[in-house]
Amino acid sequence: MKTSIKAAAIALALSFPALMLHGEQKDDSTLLLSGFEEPIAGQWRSNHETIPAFTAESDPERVKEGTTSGRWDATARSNPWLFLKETPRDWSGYDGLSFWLYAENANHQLINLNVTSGEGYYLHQIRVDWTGWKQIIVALGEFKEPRKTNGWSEVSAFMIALKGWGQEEPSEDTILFFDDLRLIKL
Amino acid sequence: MTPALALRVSASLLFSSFLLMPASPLHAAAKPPPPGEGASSPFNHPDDGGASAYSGPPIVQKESMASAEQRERFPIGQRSRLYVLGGGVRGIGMLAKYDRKRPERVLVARRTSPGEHEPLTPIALASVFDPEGNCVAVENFTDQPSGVEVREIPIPSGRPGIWRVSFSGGRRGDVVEIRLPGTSVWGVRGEMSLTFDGDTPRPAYLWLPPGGGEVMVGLESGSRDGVRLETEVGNALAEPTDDPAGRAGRLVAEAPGSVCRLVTPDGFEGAVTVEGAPGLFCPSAEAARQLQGGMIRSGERWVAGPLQARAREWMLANVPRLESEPKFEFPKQIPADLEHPEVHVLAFQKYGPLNTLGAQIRVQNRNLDPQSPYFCTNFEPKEGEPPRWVHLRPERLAGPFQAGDFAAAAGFESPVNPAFRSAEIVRRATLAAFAHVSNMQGDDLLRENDLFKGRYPVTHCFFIYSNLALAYEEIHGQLEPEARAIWREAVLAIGDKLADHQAYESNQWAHVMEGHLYVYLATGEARFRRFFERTMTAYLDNTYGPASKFGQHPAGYFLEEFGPDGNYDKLNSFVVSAVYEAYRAIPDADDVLVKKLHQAIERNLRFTSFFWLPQPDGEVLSPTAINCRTTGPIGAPGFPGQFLPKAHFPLAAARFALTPDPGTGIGPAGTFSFLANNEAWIRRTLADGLRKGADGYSGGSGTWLPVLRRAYSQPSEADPAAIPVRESDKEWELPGLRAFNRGGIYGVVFYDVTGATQTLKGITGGGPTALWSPATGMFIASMQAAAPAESLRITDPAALTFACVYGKDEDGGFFHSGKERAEAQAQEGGGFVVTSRLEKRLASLAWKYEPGGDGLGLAVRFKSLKPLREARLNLPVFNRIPGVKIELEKPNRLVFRTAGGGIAIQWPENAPGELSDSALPTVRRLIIPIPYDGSDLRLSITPLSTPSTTAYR
Repeated sequence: MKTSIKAAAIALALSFPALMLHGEQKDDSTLLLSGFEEPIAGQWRSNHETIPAFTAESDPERVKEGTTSGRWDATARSNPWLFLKETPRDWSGYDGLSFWLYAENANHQLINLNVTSGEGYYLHQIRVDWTGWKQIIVALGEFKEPRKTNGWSEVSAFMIALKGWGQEEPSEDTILFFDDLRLIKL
Repeated sequence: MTPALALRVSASLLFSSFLLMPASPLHAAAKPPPPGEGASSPFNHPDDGGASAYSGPPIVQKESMASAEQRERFPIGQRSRLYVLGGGVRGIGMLAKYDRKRPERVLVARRTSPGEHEPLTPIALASVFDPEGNCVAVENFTDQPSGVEVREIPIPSGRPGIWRVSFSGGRRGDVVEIRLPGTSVWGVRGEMSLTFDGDTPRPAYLWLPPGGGEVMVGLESGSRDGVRLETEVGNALAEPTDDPAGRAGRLVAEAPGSVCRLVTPDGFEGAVTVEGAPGLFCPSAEAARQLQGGMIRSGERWVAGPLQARAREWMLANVPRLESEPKFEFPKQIPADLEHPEVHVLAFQKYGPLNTLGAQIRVQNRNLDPQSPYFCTNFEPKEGEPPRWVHLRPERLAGPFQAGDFAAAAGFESPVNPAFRSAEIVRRATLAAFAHVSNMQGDDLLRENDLFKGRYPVTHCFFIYSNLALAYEEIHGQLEPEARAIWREAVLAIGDKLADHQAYESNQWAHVMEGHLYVYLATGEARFRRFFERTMTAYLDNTYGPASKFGQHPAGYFLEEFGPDGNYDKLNSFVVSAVYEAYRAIPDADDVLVKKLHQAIERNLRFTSFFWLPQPDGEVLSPTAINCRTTGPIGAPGFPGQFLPKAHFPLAAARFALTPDPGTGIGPAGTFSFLANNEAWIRRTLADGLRKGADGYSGGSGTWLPVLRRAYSQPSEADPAAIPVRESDKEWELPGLRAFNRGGIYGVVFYDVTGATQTLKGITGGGPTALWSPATGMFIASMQAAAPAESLRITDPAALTFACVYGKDEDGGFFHSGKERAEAQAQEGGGFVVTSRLEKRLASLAWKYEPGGDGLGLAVRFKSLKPLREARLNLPVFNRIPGVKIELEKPNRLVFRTAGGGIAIQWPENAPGELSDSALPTVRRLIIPIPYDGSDLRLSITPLSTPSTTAYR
């Protein structure tokens, strides 16, 4: 049984946490992996030589940080295997991965975040069930380890896959915009 | 919880936990196998194999270790690799029949390789048993100086008949060879798993006892290909099938009263375990028929060996000698010249044997049917569940304390004890003991657990062993010769088989050690003293490390399920204090071990003293959130581990002095008479016990009386020390614990099991475990709402009966703190901060304690990188003190008032709190919104008045 504290008072009190995570993280506690700025092909590649990983998007509504975001579009037959070209080797000093993701459709498309280490890899899956922007923050401890890795200090690759691990093919209506991919720490 | 209920809970945990435990000793059968074990591992956790699990590299031994000349003298040989089952159960044995004369020697060889990280050397023994079940020779291989040892064991005496050689203990993977003089009637068995070797009989003939049910041959390892069970003449009985218990496979057949044969291909080198039959593999059907798996027909039942048969025959002969309603005349009043009433009172009340004697007799009288599986026990079948034999054993375990209860009564010399040296009670004690002995397995295991369902052959043998040993030590001088001989052989055989058995938790291991010491004291067999010294040293040194279930943690508590536990800590401390008194009385006791025991008691008392929190009515309560196994409070009475050493240890004397005299009546001494701590109270309790007589209680026990007597008879050398709640202006630090007593508030924060690597079932992280003031008693109490394992899967905020932060993430997912590993740092000028991280939530948490001045300042800092929907601070307000008033005077001020004073908790106005019920009636939850951007939520906790410091003494 609760005492008579008014719900409105609680709601007011709960509103005071400062939701300023994005702005606050740009200091020594983060490491930018990709700002999805031009030339975006310098940061990302797909597994097909002639198909770019992302195209740069400059619509202000589709940009969260900087001047462009990375557009991935199933209707334009974008390649579903997206590799970060320069991945820092040692992630062990960080606690999580953060990025912004804009979804045109809440179509339950699976996004696989795949981190290779040694002979194994870490995996985290996100299902797109929203539209518009959403900040994705994943603790490194939340990643599963389907195949035994050498740990977070020996990372050799980072991949975003729109296919595989339960997603046979990308959903046809998937249009996504990625921005501001960072390693973060507490 | 009312005081009476608290005591009932404690007592119930005390004596019935062995019945409440599920079949899996770890309560977690779904754990993945440890590395290197593969899918067929029998262990839930590697330590469940005991010292034997830490073996060295694989050993190859394809040939006999005996010389050609020895092979000629000992032509019957069997070689097998040790396979370890849960509980460290391992060994092999051979039975052989000699019709004309006894064997003069046998040969046993062992090849072993110590593991690189072996915590302690596994004990390894070869024992020879004569046809009466007497152990006539023991060869100790434990510290064999070379990798391969071949020893001939002379047999000093014995008649022709069926002889047994058993190898018990050793390392996983050891190769053991047993060789015997020539005979055609022999067999080999796993004790309990047998790894097949080139010499193993193929096919191997197996005798199935008449009256048995299904028999299972479990394939612990190896391929199923070509393995089958056949009748004696080769008709199909069973093919391997999948095994729900996780073995490589199993064969199940039902053919009681026959001989069957296990067919294995030549290359088969798997390990097999047999359930439902003796499991003796013989080279011929005729040998199997003659040996009958070592079983003997006794009183229309089959028992597993000659000692078991002697025990049963003694029982059959002595039950008719029982009096159905023996009378015991207690003095009408306390004799005027009675000295040391504080010792005599120990035999009375609910956990003293004399006031429960009538109930013990009546329940044993209900079990006098020789065909019942519970013959002579104190077992009380449930309504509608008739007694059943399952796999040749009683379906359920009979109580382990019954023999000890009777023995304690018969052994307690006192002018107020009419049962002292009572032949009737000694007979009943012996019958209770022999109920276990007669049901013992052929390899001396006190079996339980159905191997059709699991892979742990034993769970509670530690209780039975220690109690049989204690009871034997107490009354062996009163036993008739044959009863004494049987009981002696039984505790020796059980103790040898369990020599380094550590079961699955610290207290269980400690009970085995306690048993070893009592066996040594009663029999003088020196190896049992060595067993005790070796394993007790390992236990006190925390040989397995703080990330284990075994031994004393550096902070002082005993590890139970990888952390402290309020209930089981008292069983550990009971054993340590008991053996301290018994061991140091041995004239040539090892001074180093005596000192270790002394330090262990001191460290345990120091740790537990931080949780001795007297309430305004004097009752001592404790928070239970630290617990990793049960909900028993560490400071409340139960097993008297904190009381036993009161003569020598100032903190134990302080704990003894802490229980308030009820003034009138006997109060809690009606349950535990050892609580009475002044002459008047003791005499009231004793007089009450005399008035109640043998029928004082319908349930209870008193098996620990010999231990209490020894401890309470010690001349007092220690004055009570000041306990933390009574020492003002101090702060304390132990590994994983901080405490303070400043500004009128005492606080204790158990924030981590330092060194642990497992996910803990107890609550950690740095929130206040308890806050207490002299006027109010405990006003913040972090408690376990249910069995601690449940705290790993809390989804309802009502179950948050401990200090924590909780809330919902952006997607509505529930989270809470309290399961984090944490660190503490002292603050300049006093106080400390405990920091932790909620790894998967990308959040950090800091609890800053600033005691002093006029109370306690508490700042809670929570930072989440993930967006949250809401975050709250949760403080468990203790709601058990009679007459307590807990109210939110304002949205940001809670007041906790008792008759003696009060406490105010205040926080910023912009975070209106609420008070909510919890899953426990004794805890209300103060819930305060907390920012999650890393800024502080500051609370001030202040006594509202300062009552007399003597008010609650």
